Amino acid sequence: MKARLTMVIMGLVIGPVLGDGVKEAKKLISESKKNEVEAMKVLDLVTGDLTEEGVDQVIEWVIENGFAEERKRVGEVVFSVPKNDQLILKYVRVLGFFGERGPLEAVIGKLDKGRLHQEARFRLALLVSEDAQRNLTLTDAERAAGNQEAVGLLEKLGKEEGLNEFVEKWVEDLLYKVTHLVVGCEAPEIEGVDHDGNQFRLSDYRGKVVLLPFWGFW
Amino acid sequence: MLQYERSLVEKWKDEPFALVGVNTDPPETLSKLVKNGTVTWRNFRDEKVGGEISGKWDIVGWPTIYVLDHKGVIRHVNLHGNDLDQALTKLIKKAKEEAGEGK
Repeated sequence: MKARLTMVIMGLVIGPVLGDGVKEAKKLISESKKNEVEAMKVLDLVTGDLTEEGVDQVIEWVIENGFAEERKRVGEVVFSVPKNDQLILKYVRVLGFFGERGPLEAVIGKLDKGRLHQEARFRLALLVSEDAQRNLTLTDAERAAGNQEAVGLLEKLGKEEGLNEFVEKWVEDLLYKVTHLVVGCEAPEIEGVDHDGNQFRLSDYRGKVVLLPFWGFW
Repeated sequence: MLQYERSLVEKWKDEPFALVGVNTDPPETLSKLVKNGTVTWRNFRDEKVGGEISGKWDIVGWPTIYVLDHKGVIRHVNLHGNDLDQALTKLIKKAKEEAGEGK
């Protein structure tokens, strides 16, 4: 409260330089067109105003519209705004989505134990497993190492006390996936019937290379 | 799309290769497609999106295409076009080599 009052007084003295960053940032956001995002400038504007009302929306906008550099910098400010778990959660999810491992690990290091910390660690495991799958330049050994790292992260998280029930289910599903359904795993057996109702199995084709599309017209 | 699949079946009919689908259409649709010659490979009936087999394989997008080697190990997921062709060619060659060694 006192700091805020000081800001107001200083604002009166030295004009719109201090305290108006959030307002300026919001103006810039509202004027910006999709193809000329100025997320770094927006961040610059609010950096001195991180406790101001409305700063959360500005940070959220940067998380959604910024690029790698801005997203990285958000990591420095997202813990300086008044505690806002929703904002951090959004940040964690966006980092996971864009596969930004370094910033995600940095966030995990700053979080207290709990639901958010658990989800962030799950997102990291997901990112590691997706990296291992998507990167076509990896050798089999490198891919296996990536999968193994994801398994390690998931197993550790799965053993955590007080694990949130949703996170627990995600961990279970992803663990099944990275140990059964990714490159390098033996394909799970399929037993079923063909168009005439005749029983057959996927393992009937051992010895042949199999192209296995899941498809339909519906 | 199905034309491409038919061409693969034809191209490698004498090789250690099989196209095996998991089809999410109603059974009568699949039957019709097989009977009128549109579908020239065997399919597991999964009957609906999110059917039992798709569920077990955690399929979230259709089509999802897996490539398995002759030992039943998953080698590729969602390769298309030239990449798929090359990958299959390579795996078929390896399958033949290893079958030859076994004799």
